[in-house]
Amino acid sequence: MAVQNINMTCIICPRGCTLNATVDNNGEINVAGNMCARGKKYAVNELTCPMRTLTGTVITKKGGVLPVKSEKEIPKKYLLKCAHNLANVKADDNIMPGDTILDNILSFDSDEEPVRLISTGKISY
Amino acid sequence: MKNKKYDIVIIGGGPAGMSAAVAAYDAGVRSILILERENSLGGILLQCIHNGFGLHRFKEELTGPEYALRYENMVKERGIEYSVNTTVTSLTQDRKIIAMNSEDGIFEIQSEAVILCMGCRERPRGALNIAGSRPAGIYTAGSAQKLINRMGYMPGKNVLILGSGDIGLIMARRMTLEGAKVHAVVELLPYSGGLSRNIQQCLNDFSIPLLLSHTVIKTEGKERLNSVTVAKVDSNRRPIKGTEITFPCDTLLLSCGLIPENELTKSANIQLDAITGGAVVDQNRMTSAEGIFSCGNVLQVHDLVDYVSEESEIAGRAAAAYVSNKSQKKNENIQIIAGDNVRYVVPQLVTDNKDITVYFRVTDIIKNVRILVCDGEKEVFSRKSLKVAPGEMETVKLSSDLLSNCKDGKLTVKIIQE
Repeated sequence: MAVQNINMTCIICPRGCTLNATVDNNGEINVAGNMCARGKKYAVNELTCPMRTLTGTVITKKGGVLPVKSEKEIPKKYLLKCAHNLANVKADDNIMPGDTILDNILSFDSDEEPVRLISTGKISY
Repeated sequence: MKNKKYDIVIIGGGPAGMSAAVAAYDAGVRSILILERENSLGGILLQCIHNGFGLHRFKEELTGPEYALRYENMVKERGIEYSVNTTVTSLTQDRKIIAMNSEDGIFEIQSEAVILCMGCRERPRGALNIAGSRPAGIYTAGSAQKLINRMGYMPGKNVLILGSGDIGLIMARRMTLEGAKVHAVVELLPYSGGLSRNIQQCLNDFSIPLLLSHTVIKTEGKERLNSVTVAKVDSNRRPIKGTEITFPCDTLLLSCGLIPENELTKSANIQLDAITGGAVVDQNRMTSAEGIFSCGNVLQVHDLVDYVSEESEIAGRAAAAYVSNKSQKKNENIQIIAGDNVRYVVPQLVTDNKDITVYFRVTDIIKNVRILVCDGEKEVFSRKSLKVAPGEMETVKLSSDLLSNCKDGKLTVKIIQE
């Protein structure tokens, strides 16, 4: 018997599969509706620890705007906090696309693996 | 600029223009010029700093600037010439281009082939008939995106968004992450035109309500917007009295559709499709003007940049073939027609019998359908689909056999419910 039955939209790719996840008495998660293996992993994550990529901008010392992202997904619960922390970052103006801006955007939680903040494009002035 | 004669001139240096240029170069053409009016290549991708681009093309998830940079590098590696800060002011049927920039002044270019890659612009407030005063604080979603992501300005703090296409949804999340309160996304239609993944990750993740079958009926404020009133609409999209909700807000973002930017196309007297707002093209993306091609969002509004690149490669390769072998005018045309429940098809014409893919959009969300291609009354192709939606471009492949067997010069694409 399933104790929990949850529908969700997969966000991994633009297809946006409707997933149905059931959790049985032993806590085992079964996923249906996914058209690829990544969908299953997404559904399991959504029920345990939802993950998202952070994207945003930081300003540079000379007043430019630089697009950035988290190098990998971070726990969804930290998305807003990390986004707000970007307001305190001032990047160098010689930063190139792909360069590291911060070594760890999750430094406030020592239990989390470090996640770097990286530049994704050119600075616009 | 020394050379004023080129084999291929590409108008617009966004994803379409860069993909077309790379494809034309790889097909052997060396005399190529890209004209871009902004100060760098990349187009609208540069302000789309969120991720989700490139899953088809590069098999990895990129942000807009990253996707743009990949193509910019491909352009530069090949030594393809480009000119930024350059605006094209006119184009003629015989491929004469007038352009200008601050270095060269006004100049003329003659090209063997031209590829139109101008993209699209947003439907402005003036086209929406929103009642109320004219205070500051009302922006199109894309302008707000540029202000935040490229210029570092925050347009407002209390936000309402009209239109639930992908740009509206993306901006709901973006404004939230930047510290604004997004009260709701309001959609006139009973469904969202955006990708379902964006409903999840841009609205549901932040508990932003999506008000379907609602529209803005009043904006108030003198210097600055201070409230927006929305109401539910009936099946004729008329506001229903008594359902008004007033949101105190200083910002209204409009995400109400994109319009292909075809002023130059019109100046060259090229035939346009009334539904797509883009040119009528054949399978090579050649327009009604010989040697002038069109691809990307200026031809039809795409869901994904990956598909823009795909379409632009078709145009780039075809322009290269046209330049190297101009005796390819063909008469045996097959018209592709949008039939029941189909809003438009691209291409609208086929001039040879090679396998092609037809892209189309449907008029409504319909479940359990059959996608049909008919030659007169006769079904020549049929495929099942669980669901079709206006927000998702559909495709159907037409084989060379099917095309060469076409009897009355017309193939109709239609959708029937099972």
